[in-house]
Amino acid sequence: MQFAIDNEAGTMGLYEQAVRLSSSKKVKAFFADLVEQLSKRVDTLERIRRENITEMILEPITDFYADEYPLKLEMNENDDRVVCESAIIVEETRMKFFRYGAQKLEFLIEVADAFERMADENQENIDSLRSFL
Amino acid sequence: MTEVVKNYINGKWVESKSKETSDVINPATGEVIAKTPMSTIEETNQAIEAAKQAFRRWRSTPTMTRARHLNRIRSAFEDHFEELSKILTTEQGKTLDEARGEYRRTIENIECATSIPSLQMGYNAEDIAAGIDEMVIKQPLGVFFCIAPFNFPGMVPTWFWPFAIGTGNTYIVKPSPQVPLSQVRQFEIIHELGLPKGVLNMVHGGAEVANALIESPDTIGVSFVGSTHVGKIVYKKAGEFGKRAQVQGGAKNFITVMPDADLKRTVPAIITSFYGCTGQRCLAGGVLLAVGDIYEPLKEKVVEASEELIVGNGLEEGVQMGPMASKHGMEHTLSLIESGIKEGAELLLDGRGIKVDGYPDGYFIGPTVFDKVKPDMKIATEEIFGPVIPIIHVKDLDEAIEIIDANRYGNASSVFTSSGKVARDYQYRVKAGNIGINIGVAAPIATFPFSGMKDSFLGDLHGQGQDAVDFFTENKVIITRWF
Repeated sequence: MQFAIDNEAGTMGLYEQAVRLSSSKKVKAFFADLVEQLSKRVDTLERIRRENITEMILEPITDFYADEYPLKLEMNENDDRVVCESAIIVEETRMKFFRYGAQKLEFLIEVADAFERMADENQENIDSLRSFL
Repeated sequence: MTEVVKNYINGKWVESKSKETSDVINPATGEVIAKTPMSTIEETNQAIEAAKQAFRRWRSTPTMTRARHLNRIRSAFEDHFEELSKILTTEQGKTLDEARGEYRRTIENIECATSIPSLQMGYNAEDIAAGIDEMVIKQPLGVFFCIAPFNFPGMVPTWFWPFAIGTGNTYIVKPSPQVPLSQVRQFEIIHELGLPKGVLNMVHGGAEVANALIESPDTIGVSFVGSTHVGKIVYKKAGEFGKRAQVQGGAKNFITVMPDADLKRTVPAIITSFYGCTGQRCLAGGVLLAVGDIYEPLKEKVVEASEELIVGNGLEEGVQMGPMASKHGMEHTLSLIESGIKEGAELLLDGRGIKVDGYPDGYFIGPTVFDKVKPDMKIATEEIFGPVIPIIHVKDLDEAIEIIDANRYGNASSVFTSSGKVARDYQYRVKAGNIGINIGVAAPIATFPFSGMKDSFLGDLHGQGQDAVDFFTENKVIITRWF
């Protein structure tokens, strides 16, 4: 959960850079919306972590490695196409984390459900980003 | 172009494919403010399927987690309190204060349902036989739904769904096509709060949607609030399809005023009872029974207080009574007033033809009072559902109770008295589900069942409180022995 929270917060910083770097109004507005979406997601993940903490320490989770979900922290290309393509990779990584995480955490229903919803949102983001290319 | 409201299915807003719509009208102005789609059987079945799929995981969600979801909804409704109240007044017509009162009750229902971790506990006993223990667990069952009325578009669905989903079931709300906007806004708020998709759904429409919900093999039970005529159809159909059912029907609520009543405090309660929500509530006063000597002073004060009521657009400050919720409702009330006159009752105050400045097209009827009413007149036996006070003069309490019990309905009844003996007699003998002692509107709060008897209620378990928890769960008995 902490990894997810850190990842989402880090991505928020990345997309704030994307807002500055993009030139098209549409793309700028889209990344601004993603920043807001991420802020809500961080709040949700923090709340779920807080409310489910008594159960989390009881079950070991295996075969789930942070290294497989690297966090991109910088964007410095001034090209909308390149920015969007980078964001697609970020969204795909996060989507993979949340989908697999949902399966791993099936015993914590609220966590699994939230992860699945977030993975669905990542897919929608990917579809939108592709439409800008 | 007026917007057609959307369904909410499986966590998404979905436009209905149906071409048929019904107008949503602001009853103060007569303007069309939205349209309700008459959704199809296919769309209804999509909602049922979504709820059925969501049940598998939702029923395994810990009770505290379910309660926390309800808590968040409760807080969000509190945050949007004023906005929700205004929407309600705009589509239904009641005054803003009445809408606020309705939302207070709405929130209380959700608050009560957050106690479900305790309310859904079963019970057990050891050694019912040697080495054998027995227990009851209260299990959720699946997909439930409600068919909601037009008079309390914010509150009535919360008599049911918070308890249904709190206990682990999933749910479908079918709002009244006349007033969908309150539910639409509630669902927009709920959508932001992370309730798992499919747990709570909304499908707009008419009889076709209701029938599809009842006939589906995948639904468990129905909660209905509306007229007894339609209620009986729903109840019969529910029985044919093996559904649990709770049907809250019509009412004719008798308010009895004894000679020893405190008139100064009784009259305001009577005015609120008969004219609150423009008489469009199942707990509204229906007939005023004036016992013995109280008749003359009571009549005089009731007319005086009725004349002072300010009628207008419910959104405006100072308005005490809004319009009728619909043209149909207005015409129905007017026709009953006509029948009262034809049958020989004396019209002391005539609310017909009232003009409200600035609102020439509103569905307004002013306060109306009849005297010399006989128990067999239409205005004394039928539900008016409008701002009319028929007064019957009776000689004593026995005559009052005889008239009350002869009526087909048994929703509520109140007595105003200073005598404990009269009060006990009344609550003991009168066959009505919600009794008021010096209370004009005997509205149970969320922790109590919303009762009703005779033609006012069909079924065994009521909405709200422990009754609701029992309606939405089954007592499963477990008998164990270990070798």
